[in-house]
Amino acid sequence: MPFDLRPLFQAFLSLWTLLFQLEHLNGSLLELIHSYVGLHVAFGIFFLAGLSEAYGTRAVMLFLNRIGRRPFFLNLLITSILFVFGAVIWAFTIREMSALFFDNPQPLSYAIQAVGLAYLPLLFAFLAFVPYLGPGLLILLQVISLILAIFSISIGLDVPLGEAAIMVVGGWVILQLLRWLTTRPTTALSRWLLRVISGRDVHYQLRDIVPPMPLGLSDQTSTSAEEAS
Amino acid sequence: MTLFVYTLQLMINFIQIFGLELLFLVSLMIFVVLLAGLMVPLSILGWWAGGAESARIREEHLAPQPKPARPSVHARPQPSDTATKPEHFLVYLSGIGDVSGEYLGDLEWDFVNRLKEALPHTHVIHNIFAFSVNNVGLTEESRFGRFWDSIQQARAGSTRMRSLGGLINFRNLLHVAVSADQRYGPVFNYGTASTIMQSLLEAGYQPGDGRPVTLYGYSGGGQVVLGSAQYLKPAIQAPLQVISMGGVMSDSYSIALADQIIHLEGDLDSVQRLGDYLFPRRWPIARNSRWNKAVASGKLRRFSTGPMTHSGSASYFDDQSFLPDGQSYLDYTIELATTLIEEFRVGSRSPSVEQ
Repeated sequence: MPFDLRPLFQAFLSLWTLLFQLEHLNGSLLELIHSYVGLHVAFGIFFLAGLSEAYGTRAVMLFLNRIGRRPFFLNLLITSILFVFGAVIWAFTIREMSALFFDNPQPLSYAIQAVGLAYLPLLFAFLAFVPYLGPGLLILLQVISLILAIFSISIGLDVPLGEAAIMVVGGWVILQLLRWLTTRPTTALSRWLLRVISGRDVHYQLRDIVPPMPLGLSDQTSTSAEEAS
Repeated sequence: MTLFVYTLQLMINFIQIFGLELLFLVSLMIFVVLLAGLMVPLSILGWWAGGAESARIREEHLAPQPKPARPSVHARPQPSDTATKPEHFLVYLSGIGDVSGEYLGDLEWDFVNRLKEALPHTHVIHNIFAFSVNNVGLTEESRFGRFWDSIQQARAGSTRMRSLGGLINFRNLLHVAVSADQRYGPVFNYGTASTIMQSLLEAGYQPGDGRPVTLYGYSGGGQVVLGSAQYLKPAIQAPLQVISMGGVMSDSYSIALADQIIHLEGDLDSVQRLGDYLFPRRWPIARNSRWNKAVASGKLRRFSTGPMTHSGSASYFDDQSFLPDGQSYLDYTIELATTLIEEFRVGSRSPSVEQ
């Protein structure tokens, strides 16, 4: 069998079961989150969502730069690991805000589990690769993820929805600020690493990658122009 | 908290009323469509990566040089007799129903032949497939050629299977999206520009001699000709006109480079109107976009062709539907197009050609 589709069917069955249990919901949502989204599951979601988003957003530039397979996958891996760090920082800031401003200290694991649930839509972040609609789809998924985070934090940390919204948005702003501050050094590091591994410089501007006119013409046009004049 | 419970309850109610299966199937269908959307950029980036391989080999054996992508233009300009030398070149690209460079629908054949007759000073090229980065038609593809051939046959037949032809439209529509995409567009448009340039050279065009070129795109071909103009303009070093007939065009960088852009639009053509909504940079609010600036400066002109639809009967190609003055839709389209093309040709005649 060239393609083993059984794991895919198993995944669909698991999703089906989860949806079915939601349909006949009896226990508390808090228990549901803690039983379904363990720490290892949360980290798994972070990593896969990171991989998915890295593919959706970074793969284009890597393909266009025609770097080899190894640097390609290594770049996706590093981006995914950075993504996991970002998610943990978000959970950490939420948990700290909960303890500092709302006098509700909760274990960090609860915040991580709740954020893990919120990252579920980002598993489809690879759809950012879809032509023209992709970037819009990614923004939509990120908005859904943010809204889901408010709900899951509200349930996971057992706080009112308003407080959860303040914590989630506050944490998100801090995370964006951190990302903004670290963009330059991480890009430079990633560029250096890619140069070391692939032996070539990576360009992030399309005008540096795609020639301004069909190749093989520049010499012909100059010759013809001279002849015409 | 209460809001969340209500939202969840709403979802559960939906599932109970319409069934989980329906939700699952609808989601799966949307997902499959999006997955299909992933395949097109992959194939284009794969084409680009193929160019990388050849460049790497060259780099290993020769001195370092810029990395080319395929197809690089390889035909030398053809020496042509001055007496028979066409003054102007027109490249026609078909719409999303097209399957190869050789294929044109019956109505479109009539249109192209009429264009040729009406433009005696113009060499018309129409053997380019707009929705392939390297001019390989659907039915000529090595992997899926047979599949597309059977779809094409089903479309041409009279059975219920005709609706399968929608697959061709969908596949080509994804290429239009690629051409309009800021990430993949430059690569795709570079590829189609190379194909067009190759055809021009084979037809005797000499870059730099000043003879004007018109790119004429119908439907999805409108976006493709506009996208490729960015790479053709510096290559031909001559006046370049872009005409879209019922085309769906984005706010492309080419707008700044082309000398003249014409958009022919039927009043009943809802497809071309989509462009006004789909591309935010064409919205009136985006005053500083290339599109709106070009419209304001008169570089981009929109002409109504009357009550024409996008395709089929009462379309731009229909010679059985008539305007109130008795002129057929096809006649009117030809008349309007040739007037605009001739106006451009005469207006941009360079001294070197006149000699």
